[in-house]
Amino acid sequence: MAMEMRLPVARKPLSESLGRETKKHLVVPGDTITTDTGFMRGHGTYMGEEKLIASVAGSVERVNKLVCVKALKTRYNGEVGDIVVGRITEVQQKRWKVETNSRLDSVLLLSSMNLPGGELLGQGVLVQVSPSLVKRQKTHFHDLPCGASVILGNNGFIWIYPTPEHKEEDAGGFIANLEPVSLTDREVISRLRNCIVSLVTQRMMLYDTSILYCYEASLPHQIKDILKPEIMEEIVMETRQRLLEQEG
Amino acid sequence: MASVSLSEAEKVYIVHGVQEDLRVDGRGCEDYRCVEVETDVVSNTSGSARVKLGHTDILVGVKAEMGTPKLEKPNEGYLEFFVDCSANATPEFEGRGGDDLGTEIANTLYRIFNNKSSVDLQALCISPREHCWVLYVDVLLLECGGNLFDAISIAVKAALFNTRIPRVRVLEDEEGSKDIELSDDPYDCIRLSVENVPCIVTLCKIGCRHVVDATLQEEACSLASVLVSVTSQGVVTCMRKVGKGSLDPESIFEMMETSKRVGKVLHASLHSILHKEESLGPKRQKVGFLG
Repeated sequence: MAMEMRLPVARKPLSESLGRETKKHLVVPGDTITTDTGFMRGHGTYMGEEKLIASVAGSVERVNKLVCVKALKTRYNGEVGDIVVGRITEVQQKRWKVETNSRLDSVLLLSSMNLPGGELLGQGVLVQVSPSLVKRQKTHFHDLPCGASVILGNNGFIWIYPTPEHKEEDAGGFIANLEPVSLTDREVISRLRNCIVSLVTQRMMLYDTSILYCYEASLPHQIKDILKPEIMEEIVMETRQRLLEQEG
Repeated sequence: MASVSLSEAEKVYIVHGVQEDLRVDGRGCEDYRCVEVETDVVSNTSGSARVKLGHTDILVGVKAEMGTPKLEKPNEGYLEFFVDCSANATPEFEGRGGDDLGTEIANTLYRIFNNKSSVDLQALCISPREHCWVLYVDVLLLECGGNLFDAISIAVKAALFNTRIPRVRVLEDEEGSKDIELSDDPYDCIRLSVENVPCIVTLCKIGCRHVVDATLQEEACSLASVLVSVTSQGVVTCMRKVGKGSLDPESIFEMMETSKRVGKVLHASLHSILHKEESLGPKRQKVGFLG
């Protein structure tokens, strides 16, 4: 059995180790963004006393004449075309209430149940992260080469499950496959889950490449060791470097 | 207790994983999550400790005050426990929602300390039948992430280790009236011996096996759990069963053996980390709540 106790360590500021050329302009509510009145006001800003003031805590984004503040930690705000993973919390007469980490519970009407793209999920692991850490991409369903599949919901709910061996035609209705998942698949899923948790702790964006690089960097370590702070930092640092090399 | 809702498929996945000794986060059935312990975090207490076990965050403060000994035990001081489940931990604790859980935990703490050897109560006596030290142990639940009892017992032990009670002398003058004199030196104090203070090991039964240090999701899959309070020598001081499900007498016996084994390792790690922290001396960098 393993038992580890340690003394707490103060968090190191991340920017020192990043080596980023352009520093992000971070603001808190009440900070002045600019006194130039030529800009259009976007989300997270308001005009007060002839200057533009931030109303949320986050980083300033500037697109031509539009200034907005993107909040770092927020509930999920839906957009058309987003993929979300939700948990059914309530069953009412003609609809289901779904929890999606947004301000209000979402509603799923029974009539929209069999539309393409919507499905009930079977065995797997759900990881809840902040919605701002999920990168917007063309597709959110990824079959990773390591043997598991991942659905990156835009609302911050990430579903990891064993890759189904063959795509079956839905024979009307949903019957969950409750057979035991093999040990190798389980190890892959647990490892992926720990990698995602470490990426989130170090505030890195989540997408298929970052998760895959993190998985490969974690292979020399035991699965349960990934959550130890020093090993987590080492793995995420390696992932960050590989991603920078890939872009550059 | 705070709970999450899981689908049937998720529960089946967790149960099968425990069967094969591979839990969702890669741990085995007898592995604990990483524990962070820090003492002396609250300055206006006699002793304090903060313990973080995964997502569970507990703060314990101990205040020593003078009081009168209880009638049936005139030569001893005593401990009073109070547990506050703050609404910060989970929205279920809003208003009076956390009171039930708080009383349950406080009663468990009273039970595990209700024996002669856990804490040397006679050292807390100042003058028999008249004055004694009363230790008020206050537990604050900051965040609820599964396995509350273990974290709370570790924090209580660490806080008692950190407690410094001022040394007092009883002076008797000619007329026979007694006066209590506090020592001038603020660092002149007595420390408690926490050698025999027990810690709680919670074992949750999932499927046919039992796990140590369950997360909220694993607790949702378990129908019955056993709380065993173990000292550092492996002596069981008290045992309690929670949950709606039933347990086989053989599994209870196995769980007790596991808890003794796990308890000894738990005490050894806690002992070494507390001594390590103390050896760093007053110059150690305190992390506290803003680290």
